[in-house]
Amino acid sequence: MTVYSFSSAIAFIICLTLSAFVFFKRRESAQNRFFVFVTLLIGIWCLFPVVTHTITDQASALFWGRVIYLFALVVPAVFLNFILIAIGLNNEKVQRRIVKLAYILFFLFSIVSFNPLFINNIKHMREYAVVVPGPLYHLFVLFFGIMCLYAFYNLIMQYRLAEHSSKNRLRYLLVGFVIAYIGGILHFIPAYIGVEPIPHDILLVMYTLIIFYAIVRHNLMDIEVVIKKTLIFSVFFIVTFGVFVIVTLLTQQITDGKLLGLALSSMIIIITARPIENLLVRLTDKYLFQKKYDYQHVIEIFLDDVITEMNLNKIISRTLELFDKTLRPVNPLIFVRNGVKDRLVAHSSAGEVINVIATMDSPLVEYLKRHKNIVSIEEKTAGDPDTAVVEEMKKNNAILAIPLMTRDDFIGFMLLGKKKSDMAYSTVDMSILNDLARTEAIALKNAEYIDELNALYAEKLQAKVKTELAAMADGMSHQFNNRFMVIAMALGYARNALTKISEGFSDAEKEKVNSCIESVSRAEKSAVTGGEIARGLLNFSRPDKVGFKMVNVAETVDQALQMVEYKHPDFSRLEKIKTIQPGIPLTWANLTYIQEMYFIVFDNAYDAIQSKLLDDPDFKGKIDVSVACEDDKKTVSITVKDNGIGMTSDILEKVKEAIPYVTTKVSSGKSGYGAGVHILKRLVEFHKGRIDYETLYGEGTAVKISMPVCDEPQSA
Amino acid sequence: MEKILIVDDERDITQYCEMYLKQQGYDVKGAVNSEQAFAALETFNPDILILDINLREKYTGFDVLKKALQLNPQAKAVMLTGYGEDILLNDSLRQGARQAIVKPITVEKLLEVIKSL
Repeated sequence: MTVYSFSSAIAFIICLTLSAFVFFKRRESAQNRFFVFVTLLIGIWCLFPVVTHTITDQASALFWGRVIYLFALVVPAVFLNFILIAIGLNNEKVQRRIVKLAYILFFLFSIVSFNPLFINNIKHMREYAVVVPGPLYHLFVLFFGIMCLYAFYNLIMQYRLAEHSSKNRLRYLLVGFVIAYIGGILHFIPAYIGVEPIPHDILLVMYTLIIFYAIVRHNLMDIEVVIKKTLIFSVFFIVTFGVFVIVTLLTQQITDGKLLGLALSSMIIIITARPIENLLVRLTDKYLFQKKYDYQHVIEIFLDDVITEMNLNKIISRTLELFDKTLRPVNPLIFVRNGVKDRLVAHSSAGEVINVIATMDSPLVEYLKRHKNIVSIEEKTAGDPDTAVVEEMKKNNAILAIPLMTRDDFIGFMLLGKKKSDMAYSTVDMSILNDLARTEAIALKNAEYIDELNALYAEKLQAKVKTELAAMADGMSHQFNNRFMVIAMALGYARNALTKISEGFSDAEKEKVNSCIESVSRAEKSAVTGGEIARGLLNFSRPDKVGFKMVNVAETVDQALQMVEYKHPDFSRLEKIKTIQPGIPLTWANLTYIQEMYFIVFDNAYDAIQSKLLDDPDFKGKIDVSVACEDDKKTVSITVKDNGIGMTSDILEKVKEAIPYVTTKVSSGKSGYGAGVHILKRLVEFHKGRIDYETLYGEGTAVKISMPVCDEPQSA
Repeated sequence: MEKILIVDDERDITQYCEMYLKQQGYDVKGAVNSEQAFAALETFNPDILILDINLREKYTGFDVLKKALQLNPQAKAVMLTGYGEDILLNDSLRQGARQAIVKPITVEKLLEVIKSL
């Protein structure tokens, strides 16, 4: 066997194994089927030097040469077809016609392929054999050149339009086939010049290696999970076959003993086979699959760690950190329910909550819930996502969406942009992401459960604290009022005593005593007022004690204004306009909650005015409160307008949503609508009411609370 | 002369009330706990009772009221509370008191209430 035959045999074996594994792994894809077909045809074509040189009989060599050429004839048509499928142009009318023409020409050439007009003869040289072309052979070479160049033209045009990982894949495809094409052209050269300059089939080995690399690193053909075995088998075969041929030939030349050569090479193969295989496994793991093992190691540590983490925000921030360390995607986002039932809140790097919200009925969420699998807008898969899903992902710069689910419970999802390295997400990545998502979902679910337990515990604790506070308030109220009562009684008694004593006094003495009586009287009134203030303040400390009753919501406005004044003494300096429509009906409500609602609204109005004062110290703050009946006295509405800093549209949206813990501070950093707004919403909803906001940044805000007028329920 | 029994665990309150109402011409007796109050009901037989609801002991002003009404159904009672809760005031009226007042009040207000009974 010559070096020409040897390189051809290796190229055949590699092409055969590559096509076989692609076929058996994913033959349902048209692209893969055509890749298998074209690689197999190229491989068979590679057998030409082996067959024609090995068979010394001229007629037989010519016959088998023509048989091999029968396979070569279809290469241009199949190659063009494959490229058009790979770049997605196979359904265009013009392209379909060109492909059809190529198959017709193949058919015509195949009819004449056993005629001397095509291959006249096979000429045996020392190390190889060459074709003696007939006139039609030149036409075939022309046909081969034009079809392949046309395929490359389309491939290059598409390559220029492609982006990110698609571009990478096309690049490898392009380079691989250019090499294969050069190999094909070199095959024709000996027919014209009579000699073969280099064993050109070695280029076909390069072609397959490039495609191998593209499969492993760039997810080409999506079969990398079996590549390891394919590559090991191919290289193992080449090495052992090479050792066998070289040792046998050398031994035969040195010793002139055929059996000795065979025995020696067989012995070497038997001794070295196992170590070579082990070496290949190690090398493949080290150089091709290191990434996978690196990932596995990092992910294993992460999964062990995250599954025991009970804090939802920590789980999210650590997952995002993991992405930064491993896959390094652009703009990774994790959407979770975050305590809100009908929407998902996005977390970006470092676990920060950002202003991105997905609703539970969005196309992407619906799609993920239905398919329960990773969605890629770069990979064509069965049940491809529709345009709305793709648009939603593109809006967030994502190319991958990974659902976070435990059985049928949808916890959230992760969005990953393209990798910063510009490499494609491989099947290994997808497999790892799937594992990660499953564990992440369980961890998040646990954290949610713990959060709920904590919330329940906090609620109970709060209730306990409230009860204790209420008991304390009761005691304090009793003590305060008794003290004030004693003072009032003592002063009252003293006043009366002085009045009686002064009855016999002169006018001048009476005037002095009256002055004392007047002072005592003022002190007496202050004692009574002090008792009323203490009672008002203490009512705030025992909210649930009062409970529901028929309330005049208009009357509580004053109490709430007074309370804000206690909190902010300079609140009294603000201009307050109060308009209360006469005849506001009583409504069944929780007095303390109503007071708290007003308190929050006035407190926010005060903050908004303070924010504006920071910019303009001469600014005159004003609060306009109006209480009115609407809807034929079925609704009471309370509107509080301030001329404070107002809200930007972003803040207004958050305030409307009343999302807890979202920072919504405006320019001053003092005015905020965080927990207060959340409590306000809950209190209003508790009374089956609604809140409407009107605001203009820099101009002020109007908050309107509308509550239905309810009668006292008839209890048993 | 109408007889008034004042019951309040705050000695100063009973003392000043007693002094003031005596000035106004009433026969007044003060009690700072339920024991003194129950004894006074037997011996003093008041026409009017001014009762603090919370006596910070086993018995409340309501218990004294109940006993007083048992002994003298014509007795008129005014309940006092430092808590200011509607529910206590409503209970007072349900249990037979003629009036219920939240502390603190002026002596004139107290006198006005007594006269209105």
